[in-house]
Amino acid sequence: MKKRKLIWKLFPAYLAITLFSLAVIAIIATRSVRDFYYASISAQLESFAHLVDQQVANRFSEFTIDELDSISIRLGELTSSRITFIHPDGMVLGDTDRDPLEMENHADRPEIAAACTGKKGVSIRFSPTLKSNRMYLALPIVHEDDLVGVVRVSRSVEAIDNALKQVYTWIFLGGILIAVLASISSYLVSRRISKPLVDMKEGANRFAAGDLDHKLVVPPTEEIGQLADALNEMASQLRERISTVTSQRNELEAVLSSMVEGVLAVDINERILRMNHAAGRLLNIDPVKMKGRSLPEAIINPDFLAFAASVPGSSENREGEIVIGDGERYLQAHGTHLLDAEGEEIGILIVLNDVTRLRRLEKVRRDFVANVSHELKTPITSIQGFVETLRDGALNDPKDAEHFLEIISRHTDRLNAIIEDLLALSRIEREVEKNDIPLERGSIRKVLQMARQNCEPKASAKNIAISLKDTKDTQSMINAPLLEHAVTNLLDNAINYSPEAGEISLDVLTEGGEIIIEVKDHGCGIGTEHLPRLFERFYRADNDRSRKLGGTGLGLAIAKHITIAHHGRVSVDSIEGKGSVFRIHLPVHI
Amino acid sequence: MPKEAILIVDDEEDILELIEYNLSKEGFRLHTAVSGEEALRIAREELPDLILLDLMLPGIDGLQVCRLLKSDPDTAHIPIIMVTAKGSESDVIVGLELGADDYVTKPFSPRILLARVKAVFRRRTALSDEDESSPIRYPDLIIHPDRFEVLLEGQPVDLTATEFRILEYLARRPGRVFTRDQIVDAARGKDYPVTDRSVDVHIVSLRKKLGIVGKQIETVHGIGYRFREL
Repeated sequence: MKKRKLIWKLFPAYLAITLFSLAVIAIIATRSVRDFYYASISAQLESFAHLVDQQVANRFSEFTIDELDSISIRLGELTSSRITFIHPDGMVLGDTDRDPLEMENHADRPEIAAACTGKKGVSIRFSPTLKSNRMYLALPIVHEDDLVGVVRVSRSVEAIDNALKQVYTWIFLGGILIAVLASISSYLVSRRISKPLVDMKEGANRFAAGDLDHKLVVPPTEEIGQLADALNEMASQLRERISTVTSQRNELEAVLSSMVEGVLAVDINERILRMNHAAGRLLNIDPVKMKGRSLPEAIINPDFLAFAASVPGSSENREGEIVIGDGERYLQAHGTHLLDAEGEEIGILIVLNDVTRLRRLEKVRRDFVANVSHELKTPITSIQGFVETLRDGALNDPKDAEHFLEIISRHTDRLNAIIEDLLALSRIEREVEKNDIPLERGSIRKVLQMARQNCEPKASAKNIAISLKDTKDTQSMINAPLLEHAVTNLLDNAINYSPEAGEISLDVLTEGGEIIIEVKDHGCGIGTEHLPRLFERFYRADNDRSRKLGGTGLGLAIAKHITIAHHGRVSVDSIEGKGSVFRIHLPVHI
Repeated sequence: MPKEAILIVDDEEDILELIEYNLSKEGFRLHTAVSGEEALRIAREELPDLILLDLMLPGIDGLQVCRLLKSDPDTAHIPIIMVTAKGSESDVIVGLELGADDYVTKPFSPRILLARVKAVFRRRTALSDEDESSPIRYPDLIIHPDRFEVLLEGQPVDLTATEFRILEYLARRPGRVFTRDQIVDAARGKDYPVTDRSVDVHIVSLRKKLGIVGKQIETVHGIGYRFREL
């Protein structure tokens, strides 16, 4: 439907009402004016007629036509009206303006007919004789109860018609003026009504455009004022709601983005609704770019896609593990159905936990169990195997027997050494846990000297010189026997991996708030790939060689744990073929 | 007739010596390797009749050696006995599925190792002698694959198709351990869907139906099943 301006609705109504009322008033007014005029004329005519009647009644029948005609002319001139005498049979006997003989029979005239029955007859009509609108009034002339004739008095009513015509012209002109005034006033009124509405429309448009701080001016009109108040109220409530929603969304956003766990919401069409930074980081994708993308498009990891696909079909929460890259990262995934407020399913929610550290620790533990079992099983296999071999007949060959017994003895020693080291290690660990290791001020130099002394026989067997450089007598809070054990282990290692007649240096440095005990060899060195795991229990960079050299695989682990008991740390640098430097870092002040 | 050649792989020299001493007493020809790389090289050059493979090796580990040998057509036929410390059942399962014939856990008795070696050789000879439809004979049990019939002490036993296939598969290879997956693959046959856990159900049912002979079907804890030799 075409929308029209308010003025085009108001104006025709205005105009119609004013013109209608004007017309009604004009009609009523002219009619009453005319009626009044006619009434007064008729009263005048009647009084003339009575007068004439009285004059002529007694002798009416005695007058001749000429007498009557001259009477009518004389009286007509006196009263400036036309007077006609008519015989009851309709013949005109005398007339002011015309010769009675020329006039037709007047019996059919309504006023005459009425007068012939003895009553007063009045009629207003066009007189063909005088060519004008006239009012006729006729009275019977009665003499001694006999109707002897009729006297008719008439006067022109043209004057009133002309006056009324003038009035109609004025009314018409007034109507035009009123129409103009009506259009002006309806324009003004419609403006007055529509202006605040237009203002409000603009205000509402601003609200719609999001400018809720805008205030509508409240117009003085009650209804529109209430509307403006209502709109303002609505805007302020909207503003409040929006600010609540915004702050809630910001809170949610903040919670999601500061979560360590990855959170990913996907709709039923597998489009990403939301994902936090952690999810992006864990899955190696940019969370901002991925919003609205489909899952298979955004994430290529097959584990993840398989997991996500399994969630919608399952009746309960799903759990799964996702491997990113080639074991670069392990994620634990929880999948649940995403429900809206009505409990209608709108997608799925996946929460990701980084369990890489856990998996690595599990691997270290698994490796440890496998390693312990391997390290212990190897000597036991040798011992059990050779004992059985001896029983099965090898005893009969003294040379074999001697050789086998020697192997058995060697493996017994090794088993013993491993058990000793394991016990030492678990004791140190337990004591570190309980903070049960007493530290007291002591000379590090003395500890190094003792360690060197411990290793002297083994070193001189390989012709290895151990130099001790510490010139200052550095003191620190130490547990001398334990630290000696740690340094001895490092020295023993260095001797094992040094060539015949090699050199090992033992040094103490103070550097960067740390006391560093350094054991440096010029042996075969260790591959870089082994360095991070070197201090793990039973970790062997070179399985074959180290076992042959009599290590238990626990020496470095023990050194590390003793250092931890001293609130320090261990480190290693190595160049393959050039040698290695093992360091014990102790804090200067505890 | 020259005795079979055996490749012994172990990074521990004393254990190598132990195995060498005991196998050489039986007259086998022996090769030794102390690393995975060396084992692969010798296996390809010498094509031994059997490999005793320690799974814990420096460098290329034992499972990898097993995988490489079984995927090489030249060496795929060589039976492998894995030698491993206990506590690594998952490795054993992987090894068996890669096609290793048997496994021995450390510490092992040299006598038992010898018995396993001999059993593998015996199975090889037996398998090459017979075809898939020849009857399998044990003292109280005869299986006729062609007739789809099992006689227990001369009396026919009523078995389901899956039970029959599992029994035939295990009994034809006595002493050898099979993982549940391997049994599933063998028993699946034409149209029988079998999951690895349902293998347990079939085995329980088989044991019940076979009475005293059923005890020959042994559970190998953590690994699978085997048909015990008498």
